[in-house]
Amino acid sequence: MFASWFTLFLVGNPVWVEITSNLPPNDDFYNFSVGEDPDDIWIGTTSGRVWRSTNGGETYSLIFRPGETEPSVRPSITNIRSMAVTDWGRGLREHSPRDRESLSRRSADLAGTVRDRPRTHSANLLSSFVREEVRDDSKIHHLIQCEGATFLVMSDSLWRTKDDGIHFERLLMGPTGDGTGLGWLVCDPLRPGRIVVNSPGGILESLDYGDTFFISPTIVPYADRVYIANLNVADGRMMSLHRNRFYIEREDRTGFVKLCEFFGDSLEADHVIWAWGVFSKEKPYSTLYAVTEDGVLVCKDGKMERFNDQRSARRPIRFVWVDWTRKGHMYFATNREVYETTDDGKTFKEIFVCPTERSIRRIRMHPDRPYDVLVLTGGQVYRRITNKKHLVFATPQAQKEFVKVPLWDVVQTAWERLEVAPEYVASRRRDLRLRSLMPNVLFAVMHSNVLWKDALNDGRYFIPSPLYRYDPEQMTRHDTENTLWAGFLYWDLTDLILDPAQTSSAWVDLERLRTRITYRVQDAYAMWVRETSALENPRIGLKERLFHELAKQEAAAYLNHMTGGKFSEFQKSNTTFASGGIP
Amino acid sequence: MITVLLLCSVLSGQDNVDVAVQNALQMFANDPPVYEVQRAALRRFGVTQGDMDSYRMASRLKALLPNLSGSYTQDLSKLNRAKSDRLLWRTQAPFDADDPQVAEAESSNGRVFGATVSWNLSSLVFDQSQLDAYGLVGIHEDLLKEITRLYYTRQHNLLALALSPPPDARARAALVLRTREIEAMLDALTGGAWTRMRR
Repeated sequence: MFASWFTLFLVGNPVWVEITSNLPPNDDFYNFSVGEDPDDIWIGTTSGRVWRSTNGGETYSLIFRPGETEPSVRPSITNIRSMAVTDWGRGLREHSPRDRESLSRRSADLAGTVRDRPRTHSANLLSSFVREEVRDDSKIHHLIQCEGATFLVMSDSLWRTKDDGIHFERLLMGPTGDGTGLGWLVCDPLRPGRIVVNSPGGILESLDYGDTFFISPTIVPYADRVYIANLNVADGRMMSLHRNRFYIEREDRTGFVKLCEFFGDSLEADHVIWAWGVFSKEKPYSTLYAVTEDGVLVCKDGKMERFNDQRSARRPIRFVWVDWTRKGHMYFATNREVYETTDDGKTFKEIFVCPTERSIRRIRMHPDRPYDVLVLTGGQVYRRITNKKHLVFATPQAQKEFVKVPLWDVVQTAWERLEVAPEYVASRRRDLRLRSLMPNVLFAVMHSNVLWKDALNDGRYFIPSPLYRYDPEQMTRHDTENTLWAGFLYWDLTDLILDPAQTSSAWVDLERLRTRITYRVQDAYAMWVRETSALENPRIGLKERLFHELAKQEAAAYLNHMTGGKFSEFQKSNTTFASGGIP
Repeated sequence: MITVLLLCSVLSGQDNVDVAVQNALQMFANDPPVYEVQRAALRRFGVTQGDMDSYRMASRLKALLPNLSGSYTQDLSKLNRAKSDRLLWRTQAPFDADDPQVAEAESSNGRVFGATVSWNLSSLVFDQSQLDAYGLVGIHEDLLKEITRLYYTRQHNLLALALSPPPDARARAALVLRTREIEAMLDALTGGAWTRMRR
């Protein structure tokens, strides 16, 4: 699926591959999800678009775009807020806790957009769910899949679809339910049809998928914000995280018991950025991971502990992804790096550093492939490839072509053409010191309407200098010129040691630019390799061959320009790129 | 027509597939070559390779031109011409009435015109603006990627419309609209050169 055998050699093991190189630039990614098939990838952008790839990023199709694929939705500034492609992800903010086996067979293919402006619309992906009457402040909170129905929780109303998003219906929750303030919705995994909704008027329960609601007898603790809520899979009791307190419902359903309370070192320590729950059937309580401004806090079986994190290095953890199929295996993401731990957070191993300036926004993994991590930044999605069966190896005939134009030479030529080759940049930086040997030259001329007179003889401009000696012979009055000339040459020899420009931050930007160019060239080369290999297959049909040919030409056109025409030149010639010499 | 062409190609055997591919791609014969479109876009945005080279060279050669500054000073406070015989006070020389060693009593406004030219020759070796010029490389690369992608996405869409048009009318219309949008973007990025070159 990924034609990155060359990347494997370049980067080593593990291999990180950018799988969004075929997407247009300047689209700001916000959220993403992976389907039941690990190669089914959905990406939501801040402009309201949803891209889908069914082949692991090889090609993408724009399946949702306000104003185009959904003509009734205006192309306004929208934001793909929540995606519920499948529900194996177990992120409690997006999914309901259920058995993995039963979940993995379902795929609802839904995405939500959130209104960011008045008089725009929210829409789901494949259906006709367009609310013309939405309030200005209504937002889609969650898409939650339950057994037999999928619920769309907006800030002021609750919607349900039973046909995977083809039709939506608004659920009537009565006077206590409607209005702003809907927080969360959970499904009872033990009792199909039972859902619990946190409404402005209190907790509402339904036993018939939301057809009717009644007020829950459980008294909900007050909180200004509920971050996470769920039902314990062991006994169906409600659990919730209220700002910095984690509650579980009493067994007699009369109220909540506080399990843990987070206290940190900083003022914002109880501000939860991200939360994750692992719910076990074996234990009455479960484990909650809460990412706060003060590090990662864990509420496990009623006890709270804090993970080691990178606070001392000023790298606060922003996201956590728990592999609940393997004990102690987790991923943590800071703004720029991803860490992996296999001992329940005791030690971290850095596995990914974002090569661009975009910050990390999400990390995901497929439960069947816990080591194939997907990292979403604002502009790219990277995937860690650990299984070689996902790598496509070129045919012998195609490999001959690649030998003529090796990737490294293409990258090197592009670097040199754009003058960003590392050795060139380093030499320029070293030579900076030599410029201090060049003088600064200054010529000055001054003209005055009064004569510049000899100070000694005139006395008007007396200079009290100890060098002055009175000499009556020179005490004759004489006038001088009106114009003075002066010339200076001066050197900043201190820069011979270190020129301030040598350590300018602009060099860092230059390094980033080279990294970006490298990735782009690699991706284009990957595309060219992939399409060339595909064209070597005699069994593909003519129609498919045409599309492969177009894609190959696209990659070649880009590479050709980046190498100043050398790419096609060496392709056509009988000499190899390397033996022909890098221009 | 394209479908018939492809059908004939398939019937003639697998060996002729490559020929058939090239024949099918003849539907884009009127399109300008991609490198012409790339050049037009880069030229329009002023980020061609030549532009970038000239910016880098200019950032060094600019050191040959001097910094020129001028000044004018008018002293309205009247020059101090006090009759103090400071020279005699300092030297303890006897007073000479013919040469009293005092400042003249006249006073006037002082007007001074000045001009300086200076060269920072170190910029001949390296100038900070050379680093700033690298920002254009990013624009160059982004534009190149985008224009290439648009060029071939349009051809891809046209091929899809010809070979396997979506059965749903709405999807088909969306594909046509998308293609038109791409052509409009190509025109916008190339300053209309896309349309001119197609004629």
